[in-house]
Amino acid sequence: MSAIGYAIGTRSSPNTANEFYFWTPPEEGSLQIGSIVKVESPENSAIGVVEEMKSYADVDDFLTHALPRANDPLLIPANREQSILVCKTRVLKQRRERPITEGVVRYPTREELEEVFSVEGCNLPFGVFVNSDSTMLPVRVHEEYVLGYEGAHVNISGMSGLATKTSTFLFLLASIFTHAESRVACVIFNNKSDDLLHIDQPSRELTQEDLLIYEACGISPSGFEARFFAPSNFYGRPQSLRQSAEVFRWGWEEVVEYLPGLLKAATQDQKEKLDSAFYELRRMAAQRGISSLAEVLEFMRQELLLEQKAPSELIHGTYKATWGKLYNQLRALETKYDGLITGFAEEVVDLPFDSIKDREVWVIDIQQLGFYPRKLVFERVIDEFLSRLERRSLKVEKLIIFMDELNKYAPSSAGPEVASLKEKLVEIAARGRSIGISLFGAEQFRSKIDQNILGNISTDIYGKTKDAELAEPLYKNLPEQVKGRIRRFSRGEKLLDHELFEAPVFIRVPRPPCMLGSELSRLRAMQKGIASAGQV
Amino acid sequence: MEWLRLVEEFGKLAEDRLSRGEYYELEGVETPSMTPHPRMQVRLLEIPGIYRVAERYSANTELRYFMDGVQRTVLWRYYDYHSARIPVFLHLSGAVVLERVKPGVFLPVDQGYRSALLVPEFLHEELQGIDGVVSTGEAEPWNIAEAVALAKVKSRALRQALELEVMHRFLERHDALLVKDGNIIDTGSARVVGVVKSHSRLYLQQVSPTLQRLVWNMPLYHRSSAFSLRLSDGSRVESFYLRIHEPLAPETGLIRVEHRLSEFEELASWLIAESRVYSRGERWHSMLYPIQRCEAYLRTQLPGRRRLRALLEAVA
Repeated sequence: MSAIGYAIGTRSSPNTANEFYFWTPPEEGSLQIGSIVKVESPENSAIGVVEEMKSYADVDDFLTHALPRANDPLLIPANREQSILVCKTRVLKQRRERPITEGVVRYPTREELEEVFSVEGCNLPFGVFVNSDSTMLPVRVHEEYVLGYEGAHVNISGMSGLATKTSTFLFLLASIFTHAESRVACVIFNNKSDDLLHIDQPSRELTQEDLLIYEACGISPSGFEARFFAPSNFYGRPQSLRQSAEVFRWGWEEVVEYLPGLLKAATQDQKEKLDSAFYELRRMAAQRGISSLAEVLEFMRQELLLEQKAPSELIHGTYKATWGKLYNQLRALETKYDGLITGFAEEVVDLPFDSIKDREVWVIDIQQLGFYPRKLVFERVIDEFLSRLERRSLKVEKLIIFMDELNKYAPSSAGPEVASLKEKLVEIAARGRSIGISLFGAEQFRSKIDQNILGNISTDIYGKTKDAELAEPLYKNLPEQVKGRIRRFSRGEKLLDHELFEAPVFIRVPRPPCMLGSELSRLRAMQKGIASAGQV
Repeated sequence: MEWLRLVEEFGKLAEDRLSRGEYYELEGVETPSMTPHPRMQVRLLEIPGIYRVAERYSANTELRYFMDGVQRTVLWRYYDYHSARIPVFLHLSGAVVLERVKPGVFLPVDQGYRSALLVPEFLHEELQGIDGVVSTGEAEPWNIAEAVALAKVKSRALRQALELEVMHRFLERHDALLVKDGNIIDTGSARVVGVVKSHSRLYLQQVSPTLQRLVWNMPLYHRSSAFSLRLSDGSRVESFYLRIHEPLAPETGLIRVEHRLSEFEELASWLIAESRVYSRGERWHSMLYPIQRCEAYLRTQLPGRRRLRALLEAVA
């Protein structure tokens, strides 16, 4: 391997056990932020990632540079000020825990790079690292730190529209399904158009570069074995752009636990009254063996909303007026929740939670639901799987839950409307790893996520991110020039930070292995174009 | 570090007669000039006047090789010579030829270094047999100032000799023009061009005071009439003044070129090409950038002041 620079510590930039500096001639054109290099000195050797690059020229100020050129940028003098590039490198691996004194810098060989990335036990490729000398190899993370039980959770952040989140997630999922040793399934909530409603079909847009990455990662790109679910509408059809989706519809028994979170009141005092009335109602209904919403409403009409009683009179310890308000809100559930909730027990179709299989993806399409129905679906699905995983009654040991726009449901400053869901997500973040449930969150602004969740995430993937977001204190550990590269990321470029890594690594991820709704739209538009061209 | 071995050896042999003194470098000390003014014969080779070399800046140059040398002379110890304290100076020098392989990239093609301990002749006689001890010349033991001045002259002479050695080695291996900092009258080669930055000697004053005045006021990219300089020993060189930067002051951008070329018009234009970019420091206007690169290179090869001082202190 040819030399690309020379490492040396100077008075102003001394080498330490964690970082070393090296200079490289300006004509060396391959190095960039994120390159991995190796330095050898007699007493030590180290492999590090370039985090900062500075270019110096033998010129004191801009005037001294402009003057000899007569202020003409096109004038090329016989001489040119000598210049140099200086790189600051963070040590990833070294022979001895001491600073490098000096030595020749080269690109590491493929074997040496593999050694850097081969952290013991890491088996899931989450992308490829392409060094500046074109050496490409997969970057693996540890299954036990992604899906439990040592650690869990993955967060994907970045701007929309650059394959930053959903596409990346689907690639990660394909990798997990290919390489994970444990039995694992995944639940995805589709909340955007038909984006995730075709993931059972293979992508037709993979480029040669994508295929190379898949090959390097040992993944065969294809559609997922998937089941699609959507809430029923009033006619029993799925509320989904995928008409073949399996429908689900919940009744009193399925949603009763979540109803306090859905009851609304103008003041805290009213909310408390409404809640206590609800719990009393729930107790009475249970005593009477009532199992449907219609029966609950009938019971309320018969026993709690007696015509002869004035609103200010107490019935079963609660004012009639409060019973009235509760009745109105319960009665509206059927209509307000667009068919998701039914009054009749015989119309209930629950999700077949127990049937989820190894390497299966469930896509629960909630994009046609409003905020509160979505919240209800999230909470119940999470709860049902959580309890089953705790009881070890599922056919899988590990479950991935993918939540897009995580900042919406687990924001750093939560209002009462998402409090219960956020509480659930925080609980998953904290306890999930020991149960085998792993939260894969995606959002534009990582800084807007609750700290309790962020603190438990073992793997972060950063896509192209805006300046304002990178200025948040959360990113203070990232060197400025690394942030600069994140700002300028192109499609497929990511920064991967895994709990077992010494430093974040720049990786490339391919397009997803399966078809996204956007791809299907493009295909249809193309076919339409061809058809109309044929007609002409 | 040959010089370190030298001072250690000297220290061992004469330990009981050495005493410390305050560290200083002779190059920063004013000493009376001990160099005899050479009897130089000046003769004009053209009609007295100034001539335009170029209308405007052009980057065209055929010059590729540049040379400079540096010296450092520091007080090491005082030697007890029959109760007189005689300063012993350490001389370090280096010379380098750099090749401009492309704009902004200079690589050394030849270089040399020398170190010596400088003592007056009477002490040199006493210390016969110690390698690296060089006589600075005759001086009286009581005349410390003379001893210091002689050391300075000797140090410069040693550096010049080293430059000549490196230069001849280069000329044997390369068939190209070499631009050297300083005068070249003692070089004897037609392939060496000297660029002189200081003008303490007014050569044209002897033959044409008017022309000397014209030179001081010479506009940008003009040269003086060519003239020759001849020493009593017969060595001869041709010379001309050249203005390579706007004359903000009479000496600004004024260099004197020494050469032995039959045609020198092109050389003048090449030197104008070399005037960009600017060197750093006070001599930016008269020092060619490649020459400054030579100096900078040698600075990296010779021990820095702090290191040198620390190492000398460390030697018993």
